[in-house]
Amino acid sequence: MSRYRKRIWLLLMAFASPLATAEDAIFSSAAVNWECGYTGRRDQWDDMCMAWRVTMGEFGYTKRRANYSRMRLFRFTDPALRSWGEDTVHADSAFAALVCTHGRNPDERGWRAAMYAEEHGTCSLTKPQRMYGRASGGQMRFMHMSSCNSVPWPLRATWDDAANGGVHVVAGFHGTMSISPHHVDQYRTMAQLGHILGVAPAWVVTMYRPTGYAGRAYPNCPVARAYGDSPERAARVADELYGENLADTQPRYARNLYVSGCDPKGDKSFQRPLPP
Amino acid sequence: MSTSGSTRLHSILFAMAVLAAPVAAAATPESLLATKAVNPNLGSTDAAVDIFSKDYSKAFDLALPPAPQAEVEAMFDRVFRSTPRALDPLRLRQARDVAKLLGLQEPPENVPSKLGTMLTVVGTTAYGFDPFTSVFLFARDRRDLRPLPFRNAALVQQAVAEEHLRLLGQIGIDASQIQFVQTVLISSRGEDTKAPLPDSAEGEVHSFLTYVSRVLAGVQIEGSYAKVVSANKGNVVGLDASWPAIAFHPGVRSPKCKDAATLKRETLPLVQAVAGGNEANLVMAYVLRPVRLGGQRVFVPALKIGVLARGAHDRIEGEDDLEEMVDTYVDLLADRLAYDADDLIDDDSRD
Repeated sequence: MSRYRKRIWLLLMAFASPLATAEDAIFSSAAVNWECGYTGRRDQWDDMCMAWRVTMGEFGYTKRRANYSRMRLFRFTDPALRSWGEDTVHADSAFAALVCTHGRNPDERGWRAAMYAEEHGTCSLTKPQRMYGRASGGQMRFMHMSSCNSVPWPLRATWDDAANGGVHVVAGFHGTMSISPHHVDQYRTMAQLGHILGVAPAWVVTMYRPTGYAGRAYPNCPVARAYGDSPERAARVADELYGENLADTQPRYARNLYVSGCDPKGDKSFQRPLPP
Repeated sequence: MSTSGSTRLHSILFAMAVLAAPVAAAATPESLLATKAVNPNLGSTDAAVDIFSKDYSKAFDLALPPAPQAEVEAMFDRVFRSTPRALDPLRLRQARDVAKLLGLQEPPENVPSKLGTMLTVVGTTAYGFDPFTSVFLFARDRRDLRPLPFRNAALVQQAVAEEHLRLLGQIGIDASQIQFVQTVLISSRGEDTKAPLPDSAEGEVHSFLTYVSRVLAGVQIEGSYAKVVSANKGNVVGLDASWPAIAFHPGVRSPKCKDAATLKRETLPLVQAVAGGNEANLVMAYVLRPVRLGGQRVFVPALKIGVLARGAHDRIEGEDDLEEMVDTYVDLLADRLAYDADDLIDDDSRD
C-alpha cells in the first residue's frame, strides 16, 4: 500500500470503518394509501423514505424496499413470535431500516403501525410481532420510523422487547409528525449525518422542526432510544455511527435522546411535552 | 457581513430573545432565544385552532389568513421588487470555508477521501455541500464526549446560543432574513429498562441545538433553515444549513393573486385527498416555496395548507386516530407557473 493510500485509509478509519461491506443492506418501506381504514393519501411520504434509502445507497449499502401494497405485516414480524413472520428476509435483513406509515394512537402495545392491508386479523404492526436484530436471526441495529407516536414517551419501554433481538437504536416521534415535500431533503441529511454525528443525535437534530405556519407552530418531537448492558454502554451506543458495527449487548439500560421540553401539542396523555 | 455587522446581528437577536424567553434555569429548561419576524396576517388566526370539521369549505374559511388580497399582492410586489436578483447571502461554497470560520484544520485542495458521495473527510471531521439543494453539512465525530450534567449545561446555554448566532452571522445569515431562532437542549436521559427514570429526575444534556428559519420581507420561506449543534461551549460539532439563493420563477410577471374563491376551489380537492372525508383541522400561511424547474430551483408564492385529519377508522380495532400534519400547497399567483411535480414514485428506477 502506498503511503498516500495508507493515509487515506487511516483517515477513513477515524470514522470506525464506515465503509459498507457487501452484506450490509438497508431497507425502507413506505405507503401512500391504505386499504385498511385510512381513506386519505400521503403522496410525499414515499419521497421522504426514498431520500434516506437512496442516500444510504450512496455509502455503498445494498438497497432493499417494500413500498405501497407490499407494506405487509409478515415483512416486519419475527418468525420466532409468529409462524408466518418473515422479517429476517425483509425488514430485519438490513442493518438499518426506515418505515414511513401511519402511527395510530398508541396503547399498551406501543407503536401501532398501519400496514397496507389487513393480514392475520389485524391492520397494525404492534409490539407482539416485533423483535429485530442479530440475536433473533436478523441484522437490524437501527430502526427508524417516520410515523406518529412511534416512540411515545410514556410508552417508550414498549420497544425493549424488540431490542432483545439486538437492536441498538430505535428512532421515531413522540406525538404527531409532519409530511411535506420540503422535508425530503432532511431525510437525505439524516443519512449523511448518521455517518458522522451518530445515528441517534442525527435523528433528533434533523427531525426536530419547531415552526410551521407564519409563527403558528406544530413542533415535531423526535426521540431516539439506545440500548446497552450498562449505563456507559447505552450512552456509547447513543453515539454509534452507521457502519460502526458495535457488538450487541443485552438491553438492560437505555439512553434516550430528545429535545428537552418539546411539545407536540396534543391533548392526550401520550402527547404531553417531553420532560427536561 | 462585516464583523461588526455580525456582532450587531447577534446583539439585536439576543436582546429580542432574552426579552421573549428568559434564560433557562436548571430545573425548568425552556428553549432559549425565540423571536418572530413574520407578518402574522399571513398566517391563520386563533379561530382555526383545534377546529375539526368534515365541512372543508368552512374549515377553509376559518383558516384563510386575514390579510386581504390587496395587502398580499402589495407585499409580494415589495418582495419581488426589493429582492436582488438571485439573492444568495450564504458565504459557504466549499469545505474550506467553514473550516476557516471554525479555526479547524483546513482540507487540502483535492481531498480524495470521500464518505458517501458528498462528504469530504478530514481527520475526524466531515464536510459536504450539495449545490443543487444548497445544503451545507459539517459534522465532527463526538464519540469521545460525554453528556453534561443538566445544571452545568443550563449555565452555559446562553453562551452557546451566542456562539451559534455569531457563527450564523459569519456564514452570511442576515438578521433581516431570520424568522425564528431558538436554542434548545438535546437531553440525554439514561435509565434501567426495568426501572424507568421518573420524568422529574434530572437528566443530562447531550448537546445544544440552535434552529433558525427564514423570512424574506415578512414572508416565510419554505425549506430554508439552519441548525448549529454544540457539545459544549466552544465546541461546535455540527452545522446543517439549507439557505439557498432566492431566485423567483422566470414566469413571475405580476404579484396579482388568485382571489379567495379560486384558492378555495383549488384547495378543497387537496384537503379531500389528504383527509379522505374525515374531520380535518386546517392551518394556513402565505409563503414562498422552492420548486424545481428543469435543473434549477426557483421560488413561487404559495398558500401553504397544513391538514391535520382525525377519525380514520381501523376496521378491525375500531377507534379513531389523529393522523399526521400534511403540508400541501396551492400556487398563489393568478398567472399560471409551470414547474416539475413534487411527487416522485419510488419504483425500480430509483435504485
